[in-house]
Amino acid sequence: MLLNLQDVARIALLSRIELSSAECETTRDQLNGILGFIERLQAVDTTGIEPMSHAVDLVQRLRPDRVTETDHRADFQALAPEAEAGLYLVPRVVE
Amino acid sequence: MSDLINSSLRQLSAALATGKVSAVELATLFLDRIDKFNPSFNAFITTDREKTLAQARAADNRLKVMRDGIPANAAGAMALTGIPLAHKDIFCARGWLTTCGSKILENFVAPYDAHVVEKLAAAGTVTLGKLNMDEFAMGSSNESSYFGPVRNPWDVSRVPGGSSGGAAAAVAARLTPAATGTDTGGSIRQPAALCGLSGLKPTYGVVSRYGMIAFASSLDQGGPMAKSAEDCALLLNAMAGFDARDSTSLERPPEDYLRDLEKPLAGLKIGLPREFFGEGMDADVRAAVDTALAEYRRLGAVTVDVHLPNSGLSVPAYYVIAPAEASSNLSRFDGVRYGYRAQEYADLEQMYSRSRAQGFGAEVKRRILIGTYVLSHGYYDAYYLKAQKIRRLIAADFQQAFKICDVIMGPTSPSVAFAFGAKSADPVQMYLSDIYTISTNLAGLPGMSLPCGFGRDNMPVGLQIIGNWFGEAQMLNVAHQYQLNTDWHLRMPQGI
Amino acid sequence: MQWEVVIGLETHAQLQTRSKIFSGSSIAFGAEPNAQASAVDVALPGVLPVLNREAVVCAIKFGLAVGAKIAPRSIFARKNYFYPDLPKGYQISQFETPVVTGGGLAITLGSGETATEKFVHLTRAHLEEDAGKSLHEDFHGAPAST
Repeated sequence: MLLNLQDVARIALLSRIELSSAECETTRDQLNGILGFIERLQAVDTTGIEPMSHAVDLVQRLRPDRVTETDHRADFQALAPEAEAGLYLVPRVVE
Repeated sequence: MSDLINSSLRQLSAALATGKVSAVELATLFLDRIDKFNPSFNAFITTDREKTLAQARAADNRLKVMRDGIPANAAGAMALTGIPLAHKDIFCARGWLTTCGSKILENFVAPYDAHVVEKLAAAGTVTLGKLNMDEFAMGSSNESSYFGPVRNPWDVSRVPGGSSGGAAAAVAARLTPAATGTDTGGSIRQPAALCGLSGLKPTYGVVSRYGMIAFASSLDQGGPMAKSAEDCALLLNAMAGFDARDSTSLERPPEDYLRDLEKPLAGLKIGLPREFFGEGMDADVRAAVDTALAEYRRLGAVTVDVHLPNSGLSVPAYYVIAPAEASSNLSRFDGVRYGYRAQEYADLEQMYSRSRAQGFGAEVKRRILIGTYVLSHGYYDAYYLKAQKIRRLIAADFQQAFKICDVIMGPTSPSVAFAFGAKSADPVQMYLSDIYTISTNLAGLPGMSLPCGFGRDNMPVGLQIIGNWFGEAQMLNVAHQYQLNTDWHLRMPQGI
Repeated sequence: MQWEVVIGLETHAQLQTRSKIFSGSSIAFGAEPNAQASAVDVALPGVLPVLNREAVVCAIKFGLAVGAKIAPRSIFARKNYFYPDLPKGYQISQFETPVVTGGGLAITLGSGETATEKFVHLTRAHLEEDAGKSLHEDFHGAPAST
């Protein structure tokens, strides 16, 4: 299951991380090194074993349906790279 | 003043309670030391004298009220009032720059407090600043921080360990009496070992993750780093507790983690996993750990052989699970609502991919890419589900072992602190630094590291103690009794 | 060849709760943009979602009303994609093991003597959070997201 340059480009696109073509090559080698290392998991027989997604088996605690939040828009938008009139600004998506 | 920098938290607390020293004087002492020594170690990313002293003045007022009022539980209530400490920069603290060691959060001033920060502030502690760390807690050497590597106070040509390397170096160099850390695969215990400290990772769910910037949500857990087990117990008393804002926070009656410290160890059964004592551990580490085990036998404990047959799979399983969770958790850093946004981009897609390419460092990008791959269509079952099944096998091994022992012991790290660059070229070599600590996170168990001697070139060695779920009080007892009979935890680096 | 038209519908309904499904923000209609966006909603670093009991109650009521099976154990999943109105970079939704499975609604087609009954089967119903809202109209040269 070794990755080629096309695979790396696809993963980078899914991750929204721009890679130069030189970076793609070193990334491919490093990712293949890591994948080779985790490959040994495949040899383990896990028939009938339930996946463990959490350390402690818990029943989901539910929150009472109450409004507990107040308006923090000014505080939060002070952190934004670009905000105006209460809106976060990003490049146009739909022409 | 040198007695104050080496004092235990209880001693500092007594000095504050009797007015021998004020919180402002104590904070000033440490702030001055940070000014003087931080350039050598790079342990702090942010300090803010004004904020710190304002908190210290408030603590002095509280101390005065408590002294005058003399409520029945004054001593308990005062335990941490006026005690200075520092937070790993993964914890959001209102009004403080909170970077997580990353360029992508270079300018992020947190608008709210993490539960841990809130609880420690409510207990009266005084924040000295925010501590350097591997970027997004991904690393075992603190070389991945955007703010530069942290240097080990025992030898500045070596790493302090990671990811809580700033916390470890700051406590070791006596720039703060104690610190908070987080541990996803060993990030409290390994730097504690490499810098000669005591550090504790609690059972998953004991300390709230609210406000702790997520790396791998099913593994992350905050905990204390300090000079001794007793100090860790005092801090854990303030850090632990139910928080409704974290769905995995456990609703349990509050515990006093100091309660068992004085129990004798006679009859204690220590499990020694043969898998932790095989190849891979350096001889100097082994010698120090063996000497510590001999001390435990002298104190009345018995050692028994235990098996953790799947522990060899813990590092590969971790490097599927942790990157998978991280790749999703770090999606929010997109340059839209906060954090770094690239200067130049043609469209939205480029804004995302450039902001993230420029904002994240190499190791973080690597883990996001690996995580995205193992979660992607067609590979999910083969990697992620498979790793989760193996996680269950690893957790089950521990339960088997705990049938015949009370605690498990072994080395924290296979080697003493290594030189800068020694492992940074090969990610897998770096990942193996956590070979003895990762299984604990996968199983959700509590673990500790405490200093147990010195290895090669006079560098500290850590002994790891692993407890069963909610075994913190017992682990602290086991560590404290050792520290009553040894003085490794009192040693400090030279020149500070 | 005989063709049969089979049409599947995906229907979204906003639940009449007071607060959002994963945060304590109000869902009141007509507020200023982002005035009801809490730290959890804007996905500040370190925040965590907590599920609203009433949303689960609504889903179970719906499931019982349509004769569906209610899952004793239900799983939430993250649907990962990047978009400006999706602050976390993933939507908390359900994929495998939704809260409601099966059931259906009987409806009457036509009227009077020619009226027939038709049973519309439901495959599943799950709970998920709504994304934010993007405004695409020109806004000082750049569109905006709330």
